[in-house]
Parts: sequence; structure tokens; C-alpha cells
Amino acid sequence: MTTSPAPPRTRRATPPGAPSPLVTELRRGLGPWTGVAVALTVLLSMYGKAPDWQSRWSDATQLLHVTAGLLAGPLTLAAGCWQGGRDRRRRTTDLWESVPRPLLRRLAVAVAPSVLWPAAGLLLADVVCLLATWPYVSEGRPFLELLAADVVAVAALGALGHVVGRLVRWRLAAPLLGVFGYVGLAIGSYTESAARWLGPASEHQSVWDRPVWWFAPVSMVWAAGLALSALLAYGLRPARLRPLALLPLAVAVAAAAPILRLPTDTGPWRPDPALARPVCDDGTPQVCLTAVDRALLPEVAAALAPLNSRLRGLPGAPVRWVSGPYGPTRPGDVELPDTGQDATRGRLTRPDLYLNSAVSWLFSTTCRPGENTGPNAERASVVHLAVSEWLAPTPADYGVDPTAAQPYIDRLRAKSPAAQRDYLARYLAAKGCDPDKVPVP
Amino acid sequence: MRPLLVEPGLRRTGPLRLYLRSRALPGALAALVCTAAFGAGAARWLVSLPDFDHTARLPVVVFGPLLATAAIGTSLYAPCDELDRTAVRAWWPRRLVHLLAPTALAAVLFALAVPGHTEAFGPPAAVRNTLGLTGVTAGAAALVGARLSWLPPAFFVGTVYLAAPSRPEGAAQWWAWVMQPGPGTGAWTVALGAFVAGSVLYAWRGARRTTAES
Repeated sequence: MTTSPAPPRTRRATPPGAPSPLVTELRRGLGPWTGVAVALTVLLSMYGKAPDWQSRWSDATQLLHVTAGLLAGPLTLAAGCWQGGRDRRRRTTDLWESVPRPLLRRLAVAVAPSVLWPAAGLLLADVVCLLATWPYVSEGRPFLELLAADVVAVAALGALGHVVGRLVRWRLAAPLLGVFGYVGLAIGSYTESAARWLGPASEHQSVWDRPVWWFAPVSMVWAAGLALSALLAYGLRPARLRPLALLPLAVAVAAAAPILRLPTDTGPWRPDPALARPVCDDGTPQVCLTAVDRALLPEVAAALAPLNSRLRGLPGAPVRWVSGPYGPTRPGDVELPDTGQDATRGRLTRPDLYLNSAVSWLFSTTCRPGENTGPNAERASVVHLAVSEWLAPTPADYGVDPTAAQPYIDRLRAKSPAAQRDYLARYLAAKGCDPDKVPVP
Repeated sequence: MRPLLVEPGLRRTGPLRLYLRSRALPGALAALVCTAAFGAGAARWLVSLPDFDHTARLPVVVFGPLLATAAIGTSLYAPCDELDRTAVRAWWPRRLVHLLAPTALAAVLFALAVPGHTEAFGPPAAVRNTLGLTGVTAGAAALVGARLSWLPPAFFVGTVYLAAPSRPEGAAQWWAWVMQPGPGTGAWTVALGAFVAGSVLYAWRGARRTTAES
């Protein structure tokens, strides 16, 4: 009887030349498509809203954050769930059980496409959007740490979906998980509790704020801890090792604690004086924007120029036009409308509309109850309209009908420049809430 | 004695019930009803929130039908497709009934789930989205297979949801038809087009034959 020699043991798990199982997993199946789908979903959503975010880092970061949480998150959950059920659909579960590798190691390889591809797709979309914002911003920085936390959250959702897909054998599991994942992630934006800052889609709208430094790393630990805990609870064998899964869970809960203690309204966001610092031109009246909108200053000054030339030197005229979170702080300050609404890619989209809103803000007064009444109240309101329309006509597509004020407008236009200045000075001096004192042109 | 062609057990169960069970239709219908009930509850809750009005029902009008059509789409999977195709009778009327009956049920349920405000996101918008998304799902079942048929409509809705402009205008009523208020003609045209095209494609070709791998 002859015995054949045992084959020599090699250190490599795979034959030389064969790709590693991880590379095969990453290249085949649904994984790459998930990455493409996540990138496309985020990029198309961002493209549709481009005028809203392309001027400021904070707008871009916020919208990327919400898009990642609300759209990429559920998509990744569903795709992960589908990928997790693959071996069951292929009926190769028994075959995998016969492989002399621990379950946890096989799971780590199998879960890779559900985790890495959506993360890569989101990262790509983030980079593209930040590069598209870069040429138009003036101050501040993108909150890269928040975007990194989003990538980690999406990867964690992929892992959670994968585990659910392995456990639940139902054709509808993946779409159900996607839609209910969306509901779970979106519910935070409808509530005011501190728990919403735990979700990856929590929104905060202020361009002069920045997040506290620890928020992003702690969010990453929270998301990654949950996912790791689920993976360990599923993949650790023998069963007596399972309690080890409580370790990352404990870390995740510990990370959640400081997030839950954040203020419910502003969460991790704190005012950043550097972003809200006023930047002024040297005109009269001065035009001051916040540092975030510095690039817009020449545009805004140009839009306000016709109005400023009429106001220059008049008693009662504003000294500074200011915008930003602090509003008018000195006597003679008048608030400017927010440029974020009217600017796209570092330019004012409608200078005429902006001038018109600036005029209405200049003359806007809050009257007490009982004021602004009397026999002349109607005439006074027509005069207010006439002065506004004379200084900055409302664009035709905005539905203000100046017919009633037209005689006054014609009279104002017919006056000599000196008479116009004289009238404007009298108008500025009059109290807007006392109809009898409003001068008739 | 006539040869026994049908097993006695089968005769007792009835071919219709066997068909329903083979397509896991009871589960799909249960999912559909639960989705509509959940959608109705969610719509009420959204409207009841402070600072929200009836237009806050948009997520229900979009995601409810999406989930319902996912349930319908995954039920189109035929476990023994090759065996089915050896049958003497034409399959297309059966496929059509299989698609249309749950769709009609879903449309009625979602119309009831979001009552009132037909000019915004009420019953017409819900019915339109149910029909349109069913068409997309049925088309996807014919092209990529029934079990993954939910993915193309989910991807479409996910992409359009945030990208759509908040006011219905211009080309958006065509490409973002799921996000439009009830009466828009453009959105209805696209949705009905998708419904007819998807249903015909599915009735004609059936769900794409997939190996057990996909």
C-alpha cells in the first residue's frame, strides 16, 4: 500500500494569481451598483438644488448631510439587506458552513460590499459637490468632519442592513427596510427632541454657526459602535463569545450620552463670530455683509447704488446697511435682506428684486395697535407704496399692482432732483405710523 | 375509469389557491394593507403637527405607493417559471389580472388613506403614484427580475424626492411626476404612460427569468 505525501502547506489561503475573496466580493454582484446608485442619488438631488447651496460652505455641507442621511441611508440599508440574503437565495449557505474559516471572518468579507461601496459613492458625491462650491465661497471651511461622520453612518447602515438580510427571509425585507429606514431617519426632522441629533439626517439652518468639535467623532463612534455590535452578535461563534458584542454597544451608548445632553433646538451648533464678522465697503451709506458673503459685497453695493445715491447726505438716512445674525447694532444701522435667498454662485440673481426688498426693509416699521389709523391712513399707505415704487420698482412678475399709487409716482418722477431730495428728507423724517405726518408728494 | 390527472390533494386545494400561495400573494396583500393603514396613520400624524398643513402628506403619497408597489412587484416572482411556460393556456391574461387586481386594491386603499385636498396631495395624487410606480415596478420585473423589481422605482423616487423643485413648474412635472400635486396633466400623462407600458411589458414577457443567484 502506498500513501501519497500530504500536499505542502502554503501560507496563502488562495492559490497564487487568484484574487483574494475580498476583491472578488467587492467587484462582483450588487456592491458596485450600490456605490453608483448612492453617488447618483446624492449628486442628482444636489444638482436639483444647486442654486441653494453653491455659495456657502455651510449650505453645501448641510444639504449633503441631509441628502446622505435621508436618501443614501435608506438606499444603503435596502441594498445591504439584499446583499445579506444573497447566500440564502443562491442556496450556498451550507457550502459556506463547510468552509474552514470562522463565521466572523466570512461575515467580514461578505459585508464589505454593503459597507464600502455606499461609503465610496457618498465620498465621491461629497468631493464633487465641495469642488463645485469651492470657486464661489468667501469665508469659512466645509465641515469635513461632519461629512466623514455621514460616510461612517452610511457604512454602518449598510452593515446593519446586511445583518437584517441574513436573518430575515422575506422577499419584501429589503424594500420594507428601505422605506421604514427612511421613516425612521426622517422622523427626526419632524420632532424637536435631543434624540434627533443621533440620526444622520438632523438639519440645522444657520450659516454663521459651526458644530462643536467633538460632535462628529462622537457621532462616528455611535454609528460604528451599533453596526459593530450587530455584526459581532451575529458572527461570533461559539455562542459563549456573543456577550463580547455588548462591548461596542456599550461604547455606542456612551457616545450617545453627550449627544442626548445637547440643547434640543441648536444641538451641536454654536455661533461662530468669525463667520458673522461684518465686512463693509467704503461707500455712503456703508454696505456691510457678513464674512460668509464677502464675495457678494461688490454686487450688493452695485445693486444698492441707485438708492444710496439718493440717500447720501440726507438727514435721517441710514449710516450702514448691515446683514447677519446680529442685525442693526448701532444707531443709523438698517438691516439688509438676507443675501442667501437672492444669490447663486457668488452673484445676485435679481439685483432689481434685492433693491426692492432693501427699500421695503428700510421703510418697514412696526406700528403699535391703534396707530396708523384715521382718515388719512389709506392715503398714507398709497404714498408708502408710491415712494417704494419710485425708488425701486417691484419687478413685473411679482404681482404688486402700483396703479393706485401711479399719480404720486408720476409726480415724484417729474420733480427736479433738488425737490426729490427735499421730499425724501421730509418723508424719512416723518413717522411712518402717523398717517397725518406722511408728506404727500 | 378515467386516469387520475390531478392529485386529489390538489383538487381539494384548487389551482387558484395554489397559484396565490406559490406567488406568496397572501403575504404581499397583507403587506399592502398594513402599508396603507400605516400610511393613513402617518398622514394624520403629519397633519396634526404644529406648523404643518395638509401638504405635509407628501411623504405618505410618495413612499406609501412605493412600498405597496414593491409588495406587488416581488409577488410577480415565479418559482417554477420554466414549468409555468409549458402550460397550454396563455399566461398573459393571468399575469394581467395578477398585476391589476392588487394595483386596484392599493389605489383604493391609498386614496382612502389621504382623504380630501384633491388639489394638493390627496386621493388623485395617491392613485396616480400607485399606478405610475406599479408600471415602473412591473416593467422592472420584466427587465431585471421580480425579486429586485423594487429597486429601480426606489432609486427613481429617492433621486427625485429632494431634487424636485418645491413649486410645480416646467419640465419638473414630467421628470418629477411623483412629487406633483393631484391635478397636473403632465404628471398624469407620464404616470399613465408608465403604467400602460409596464403592465403590457410584464403581461407580454412575464417576469425575467432569473437564476437563484439574483
